Amino acid sequence: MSNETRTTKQRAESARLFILLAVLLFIVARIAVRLDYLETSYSFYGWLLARATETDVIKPVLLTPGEQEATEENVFFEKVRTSLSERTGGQLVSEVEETHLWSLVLAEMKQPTRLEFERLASDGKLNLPYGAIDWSEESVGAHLGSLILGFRSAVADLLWLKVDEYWHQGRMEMMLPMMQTVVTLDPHFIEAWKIGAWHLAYNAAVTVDTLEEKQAFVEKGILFLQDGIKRNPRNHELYFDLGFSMYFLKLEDYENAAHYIRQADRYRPPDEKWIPRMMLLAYERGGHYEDALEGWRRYLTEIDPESNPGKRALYRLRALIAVRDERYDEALPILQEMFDTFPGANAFADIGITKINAMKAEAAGDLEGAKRLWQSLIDKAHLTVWDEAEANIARLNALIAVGGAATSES
Amino acid sequence: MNFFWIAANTYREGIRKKTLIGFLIVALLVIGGSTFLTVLSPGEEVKMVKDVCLAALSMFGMLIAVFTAGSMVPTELENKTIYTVLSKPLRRFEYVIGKFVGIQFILILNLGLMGLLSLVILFTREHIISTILIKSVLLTYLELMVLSALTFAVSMVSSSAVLPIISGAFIYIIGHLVEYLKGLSNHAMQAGQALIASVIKLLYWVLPDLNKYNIRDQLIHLQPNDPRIGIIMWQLVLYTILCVAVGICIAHLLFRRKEV
Repeated sequence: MSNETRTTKQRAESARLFILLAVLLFIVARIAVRLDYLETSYSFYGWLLARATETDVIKPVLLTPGEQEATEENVFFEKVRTSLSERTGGQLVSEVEETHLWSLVLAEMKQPTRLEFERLASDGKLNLPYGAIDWSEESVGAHLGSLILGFRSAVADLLWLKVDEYWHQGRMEMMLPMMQTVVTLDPHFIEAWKIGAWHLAYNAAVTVDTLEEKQAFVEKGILFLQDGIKRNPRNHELYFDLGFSMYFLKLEDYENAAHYIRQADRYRPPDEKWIPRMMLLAYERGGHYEDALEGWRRYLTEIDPESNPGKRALYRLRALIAVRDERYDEALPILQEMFDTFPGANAFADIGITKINAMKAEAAGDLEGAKRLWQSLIDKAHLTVWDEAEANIARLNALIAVGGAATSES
Repeated sequence: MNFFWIAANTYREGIRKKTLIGFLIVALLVIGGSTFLTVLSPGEEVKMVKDVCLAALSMFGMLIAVFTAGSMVPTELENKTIYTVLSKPLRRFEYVIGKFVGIQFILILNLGLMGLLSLVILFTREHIISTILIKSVLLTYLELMVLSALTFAVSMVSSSAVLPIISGAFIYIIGHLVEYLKGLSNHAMQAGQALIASVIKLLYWVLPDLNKYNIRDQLIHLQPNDPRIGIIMWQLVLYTILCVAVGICIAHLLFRRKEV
């Protein structure tokens, strides 16, 4: 074969290879476009679910209707929600099952919604769950490597160890901003959301002096957990912590506690029994005795038929309903039956029966008798009802004084 | 079947390299050490183990991929063993394919060992075989496959291993920065620079975007609200195959013109 023929053949082969390369690059670009579409849809899905959770679950607690600001994000969300509501049959977006929502998102992510979503995201006008890093932040250098090389979760873990170190050193001012960085890097770091909120509401709150400052920290803790919920809308642990640690224990706000623990109950694992029990306790403390009673009956039928706290709660709630309706004579035997069935609860028998007798005496107009009964609880050093007894004695004293004045006037 | 013998020989040669053995030992130590990190963060042991294992797999996998893919052909050129091989009745394409397949055997062995240790550590914590971890390791391998293909292509123009290894590290970094081109293109479009925006967008689509494989982070910490990402995984497999094909095509184009 002559050199010329060989060169011509080589050139032809090179040309074929270049054509093959061009074709391959074209297909790579096509797949990249498809992947881009799927990734944008994934991001849109996260944003939509977070916004829907905020509107359907969190905002009703915080705001009354009409208080929502008309930001570009809100306007866009309302548009998408209206468009989706036709296909969800009126079901709330936050309640649509994952697979169905994903298929709805894929259909919705066609033009022009996709273009608008990309524009708003690129302008930083959307609060995306898998958050972008704020480049003006001081600690940005710490996670630069993670952004370039893609080790977000691992860097978040290392920073979390640093948070723990600062906590043990008592350097709260260093710890709090770093906690925010950790959850920005890894929004699925559930423990960071939970412990972060606890630090804010419980530990940071005791480092300040005034009540306003303490309340501000508790509020920050609540907002931190709500932010975590928006990024993990179906994680039962975050709902439970918000409901129980914040509203139930810290603020004694049983309405909000029941609202969030109810969400936790919805997404809890089937073998988790503590959450429904605390939900029913929140109902009870909030004065929703009938709901609590019904809930305990369901709990005993469907979740734990052998539950002693559940069986005791049935007696207790029936007694509470009778007391609320001023049917004291019905309440006393119910309570007595409970103490007979569960001798372990006898420590509380005296308190319960004395309280009902005091209320009964007051209803019958024997204010002095009622006062004596409340006083007997204080004398017996029943610490759990001390405040309640003192408040009732003060109230009864006021009533007696008003009654005495009325008698002397007449 | 000539390429198979080349691949087998490349594998044998690769597993004897002290640098690679060193990387593997350090990687195994880091993965094994992840279990001690959990002492510092009670309550999040499994998450910490998963994150450290995945990061170690990715980081050391990258080093192994870059060193293996970048040094195989230049070392043969330096040792002049390539002349003996190419003097045999063997097409250059078969040599290229054989070398690449051999590199993949080495990568699979190393990643397999690291993945197995991670799996064992997770098993001791969770008492289940984590299929999610297996999928995440697979995604890491796909990423390293693309990286090794491109580094391998660069190694075809070099007679020393230094240039391809440095290039490989840069390909890894740039591959993770490609997604910023999308934002850049949007900004150029908003600024009225349509032509520049189109060129940047084209680069964004054509350049291998290694950040796409970061979906393993979401996969390993899958939340109840997350949609199933199987569809993205299959697209990623296809994307990897095509990127690797591009890498091999470039490697062949460069190697067939090389005067050896």
